[in-house]
Amino acid sequence: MSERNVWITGVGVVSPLGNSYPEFARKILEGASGIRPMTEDDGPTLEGQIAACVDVIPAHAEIETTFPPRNRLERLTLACCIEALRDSGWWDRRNDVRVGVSVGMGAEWLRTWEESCLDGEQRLYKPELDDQSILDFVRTALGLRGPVTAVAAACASANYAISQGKRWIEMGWADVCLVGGCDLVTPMAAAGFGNLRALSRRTSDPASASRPFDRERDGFVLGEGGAVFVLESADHARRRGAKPYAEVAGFGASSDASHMIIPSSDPEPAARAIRAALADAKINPGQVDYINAHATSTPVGDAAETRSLKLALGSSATKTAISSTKSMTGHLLSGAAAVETVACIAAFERQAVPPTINLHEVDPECDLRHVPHTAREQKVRVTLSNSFGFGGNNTCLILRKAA
Amino acid sequence: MTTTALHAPCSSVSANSEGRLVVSVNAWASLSANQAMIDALRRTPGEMQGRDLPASFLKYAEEQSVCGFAAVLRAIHEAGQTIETYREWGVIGAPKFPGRSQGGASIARFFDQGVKGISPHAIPQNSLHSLSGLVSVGLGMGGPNLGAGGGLQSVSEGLVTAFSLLAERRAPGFWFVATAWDREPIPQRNGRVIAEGTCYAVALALAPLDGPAEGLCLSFNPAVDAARETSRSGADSAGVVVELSEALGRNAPASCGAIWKLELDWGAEVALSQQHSS
Repeated sequence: MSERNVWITGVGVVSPLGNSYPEFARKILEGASGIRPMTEDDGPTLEGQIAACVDVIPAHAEIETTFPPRNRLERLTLACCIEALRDSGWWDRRNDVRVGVSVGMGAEWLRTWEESCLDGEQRLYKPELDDQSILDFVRTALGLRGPVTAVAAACASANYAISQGKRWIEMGWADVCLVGGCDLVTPMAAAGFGNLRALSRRTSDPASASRPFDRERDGFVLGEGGAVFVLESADHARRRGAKPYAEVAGFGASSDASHMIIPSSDPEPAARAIRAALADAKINPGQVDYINAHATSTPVGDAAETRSLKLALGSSATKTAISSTKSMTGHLLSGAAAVETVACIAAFERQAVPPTINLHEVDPECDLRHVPHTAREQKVRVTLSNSFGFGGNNTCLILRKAA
Repeated sequence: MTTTALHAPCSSVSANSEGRLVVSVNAWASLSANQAMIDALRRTPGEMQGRDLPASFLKYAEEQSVCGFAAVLRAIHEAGQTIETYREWGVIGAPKFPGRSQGGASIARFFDQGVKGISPHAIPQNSLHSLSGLVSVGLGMGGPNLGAGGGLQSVSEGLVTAFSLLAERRAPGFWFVATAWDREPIPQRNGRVIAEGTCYAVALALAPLDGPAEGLCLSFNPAVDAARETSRSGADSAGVVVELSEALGRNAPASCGAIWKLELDWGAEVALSQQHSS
């Protein structure tokens, strides 16, 4: 396998903090919260539910007239892909190269069947209607001709997808890749995570409900949306004069092999993923300028991540700026790692670290170098983004400011 | 319940040139089971070699996850290997339409009973990553675990993912576990499930090679026909899983050459073959 540098040259984001990269970057660095009570405009909701919802998923008539999306997740994924291609400058030439697609979506079929039932359709009960996956639809609608794969590692899905796209570029399986992750808040998702007792009960004050690393945290808040990136080799991007957002520098992954739902109390498996990412990027812990934590705001998870960071990074763990942008975006599940990659890109571009809002009193078990409430201006050349998930999944993605 | 497993794992050796990747298949098994058999597998999935799992470990697992887990156990057992051998390995699970039965029943119960109709296990056990997570947790495998595919081309998408991870050597090896029903189970509006079909599972232990290919090997050629017209109307993963099971059943250590082939829609090709050193 060649050692080609792979750059991010396009961003398509649909999120609770806006549907364009500039808007998202501005709001994430302002410390804006996207969490609010759900309303009927968000679709069927559970009473008293709060979430970080997308106001409107952008429609693209030039494609959707011929290829109408069949559900919200399909429209969301299509919108992210189209915006990423446009942003990168590949939109009009997307059929001239082999464009691969690797997107994280762990619950594509549950979401599809649930929405179909809500719409009075029959896909759940009539398997013959499930003739096309979402990524198959995207590929057909956009006329792409490269490998296409949905990947899933629960809330770590998008990190795997980004890493897979990088690999395809390095191995020459595709010239350009669309990579990322997308997910939605649905009534069943809210009910399922609620019955797991994973969600915050601070519903009377939505904007303060997600409080990673805070002593008073009591669970996460669901979010929805996603992000898709265009990846291509640095050489390729330079030749066509494309603007790089970042280099995908390293990736590491491991499994707890401990429990399907509860994170391991042993910090070593997650630390192994972090160390693997550092090794892959060929950097040492002291070179990391910003850590975008997985920290979802659960009592167990945030403390466990702190222990893993200390184990993996040693003394650098308490010297490196860290924040959890889930305090603003909520937890986007399969889309989480993708949107957090956008937050890292914003940190490069603005040379500032986004904050953890609602962090009023740091839990002593989470004693790291936090950036509470407001963004911090500083040098940002390397970012490290953790994403963990059900099934004992641990992933870590390292980005480097593109030279 | 029918089972196929062969007892001749090839030595870990390699071949790799001009983009073509070849990996060894260190253990393999296929399995097919109807609903009653799956219920039995939940209680006794196979030889656990003294590994202690909670009695309820498979109680809430989706049927495809149960079959995939049992297929991995069977492959290890019939190859005469230990579960411990695979402690650092990764797992790629490629189920077709994961969650249609149990997850679908949850959806139906949700519409009937509201929030209380949703089990806390509904999402963790019925997603694309549930099969790989179950194998990783159940057998103590600490390498990466992820799901791939999930739709009609699940096997193709899973194999592309497997080869890209193997090429990178992110773990000593990866289990590739593909599952599918020949006839999809149909959840009912009362939350019950009608499952009249057979669930198939194939488990392959894939490891990078460091020398000439020998024994049962899986190869990936990314550019057989780059000009091929892209079409997603190709083989349904249920048929592919059955074909692969049958190929493994027909396979014999003495045979030589390709025993199974899958054309991917973007011009790549995967083939299973027996290789003998000259």
